[in-house]
Amino acid sequence: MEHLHQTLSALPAQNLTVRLLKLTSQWVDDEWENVTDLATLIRKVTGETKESDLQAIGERAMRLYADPNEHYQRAVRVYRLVDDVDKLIGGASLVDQVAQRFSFLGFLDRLVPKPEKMQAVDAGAKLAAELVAFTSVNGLPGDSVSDFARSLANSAHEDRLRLVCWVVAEGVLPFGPDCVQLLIDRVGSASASDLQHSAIFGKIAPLLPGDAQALVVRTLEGIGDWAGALMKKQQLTQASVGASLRSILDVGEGSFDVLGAAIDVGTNYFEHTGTQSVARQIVKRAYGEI
Amino acid sequence: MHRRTVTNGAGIAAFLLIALACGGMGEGATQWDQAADEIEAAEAPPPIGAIVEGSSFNAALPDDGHSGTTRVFTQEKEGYAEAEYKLDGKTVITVSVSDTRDNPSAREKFAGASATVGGYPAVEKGSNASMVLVADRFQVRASSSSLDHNARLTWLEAAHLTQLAALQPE
Repeated sequence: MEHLHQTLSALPAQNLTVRLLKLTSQWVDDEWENVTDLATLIRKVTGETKESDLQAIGERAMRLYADPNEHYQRAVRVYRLVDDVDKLIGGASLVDQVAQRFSFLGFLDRLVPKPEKMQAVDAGAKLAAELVAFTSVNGLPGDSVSDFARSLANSAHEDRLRLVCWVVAEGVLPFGPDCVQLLIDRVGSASASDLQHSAIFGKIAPLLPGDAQALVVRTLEGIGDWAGALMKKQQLTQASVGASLRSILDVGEGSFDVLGAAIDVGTNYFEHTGTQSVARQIVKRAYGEI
Repeated sequence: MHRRTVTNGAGIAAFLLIALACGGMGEGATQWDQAADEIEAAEAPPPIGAIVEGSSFNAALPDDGHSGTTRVFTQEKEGYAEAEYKLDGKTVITVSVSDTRDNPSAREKFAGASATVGGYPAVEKGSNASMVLVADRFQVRASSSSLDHNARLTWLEAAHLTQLAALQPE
């Protein structure tokens, strides 16, 4: 079985995803550190330094993670599900550890932007995946959109970073600052066939209680105020976001759609930060229990 | 790839031996290996149901507004509940309640405790945490990097310990 320390250390220290997240942290007002080591995470979360305490906390955290009743592994699986579907090219072959800016010029013909409706359904499904993972980790009812929406205001670290990245990459970049209402409209009016074409929706829907499409729409409605405030505060537009992203991604003269496609296939920010979020919550709890 | 830190000489020696056997730098020993082996060797955990629900603990935590802070519930699982208390958006202290039925070794540190809160034994652990064991069953923990042990004990006093003790199932 995969243990917690292995789940964390499997995350890359440096790749395009990490670059994307570091870029996104400019809009979060929070310095993000890519923690991929359990002992380091424990030190950061608890502030403790005594080795024997760190060891005890880590071992308790490992036991919590290993217990399937606790649903932490389920949350990690959900984050992996969401990012698994997007990879056309495969992460490892794309990563250039040395280059400041990752070039997709050799792959432009394979960066086929998604049709707008599918883009919207995928974005909505990804947000619903966050709801599922959040409720798995925090122990709230699975359709608790209001609790989830409230938690956004208090989100920090990897949670906040992941959601801001979602707003930027799945919202503003393809749809502009009116993205949330656009997403609500597109997902709300999607036909059964539209939904079937979304691989992400197909994977997440079975995990959602009740009417999956309706819950996705409610979740989008739930984050509207928070996302709107973020976009206003950070003055996010397609142009500003696009310009920032071009500093790490080279798609030649490619449009915002092509930039979006590059992010889809070249990064797994949901899985990366989602894994770190789960680990952080477990460590906090382990600390509270020992 | 980078070396893992190990905490003692024997561990370092073991790591080097394994690293050599594997042909150099690679997936060597980690400080977590023994725990990993123990977890895999142990029996599957029983289904949850023998422990008190986290939602029952929420009411036992210090009230929203205590010391002018805003309370935010952050976790609620079988046997565990946690809230952060914030001032101006920053977390001042985290208070949690856990049912030690799930982790009985947690009770050991209270043996010989010199302090009490509400009549229950209280200890300090590490540099940031203070806790009290209620009814020999529920551990209430206050952790903060800005408040000292005495300040944290005051927060433990603000938890509803008598109410918590009453949750002890028959």
